[in-house]
Amino acid sequence: MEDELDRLLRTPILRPPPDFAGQVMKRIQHLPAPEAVPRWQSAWRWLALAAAAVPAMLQLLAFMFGMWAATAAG
Amino acid sequence: MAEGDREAFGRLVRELQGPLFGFLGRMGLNQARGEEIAQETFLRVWQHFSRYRADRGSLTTWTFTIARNLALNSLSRAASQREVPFGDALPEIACERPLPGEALAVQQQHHRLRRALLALPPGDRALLALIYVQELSHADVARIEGCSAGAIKTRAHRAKARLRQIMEDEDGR
Repeated sequence: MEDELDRLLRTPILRPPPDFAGQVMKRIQHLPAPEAVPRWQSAWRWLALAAAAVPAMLQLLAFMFGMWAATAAG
Repeated sequence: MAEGDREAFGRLVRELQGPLFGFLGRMGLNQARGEEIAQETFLRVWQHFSRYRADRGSLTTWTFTIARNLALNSLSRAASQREVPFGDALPEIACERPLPGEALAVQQQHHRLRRALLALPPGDRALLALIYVQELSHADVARIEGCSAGAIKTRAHRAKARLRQIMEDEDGR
């Protein structure tokens, strides 16, 4: 049963129509060529993320310190 | 593949179209929807090629990740719209002039398999559909499914046991 099931699962149930690749190529002709994301743009994104993360972390630490100070004083 | 290289992209389409249709068939899609999703997959690969990261897996793995997501979305959309494109209206048989007797046997076996596959949850179906893509290793499937290779083996074993059970139950009726 296992062998039969494996064999069955390996047989293609669907097959591409004869000119499938041609159809795809025809459709992409109307699309612009993919553009590469410049390396500097990617680095800039990470820098922006880090720049936002630093103040957020400081705010979180300030909040935690505030909580600790309030409970320690009480 | 060099970006913008239509010739290389054509080679990729020709190389992956067979395995991709095999995958979509195991997902329980019919020929028309399979073609639609296969085309959409390749168009997305072309359009979003700049997002592809070679260090996160091969182009084949990325292509199948897109196909899997599109197929699962299509299945869930069909389920929410209460369409029955995958139920009794089973996909057409893909065969190229086989002998009548042989064709009939193949057709019956495929019919039986499809019925059982359609009874599986979509997640299990997607996993089994991927596992039988020769171009993908267990590590590739694990990357697509977002879990470890060990978990893939366990899940595949369970899904196959479930599928076998469904087929035996069908035969027993």
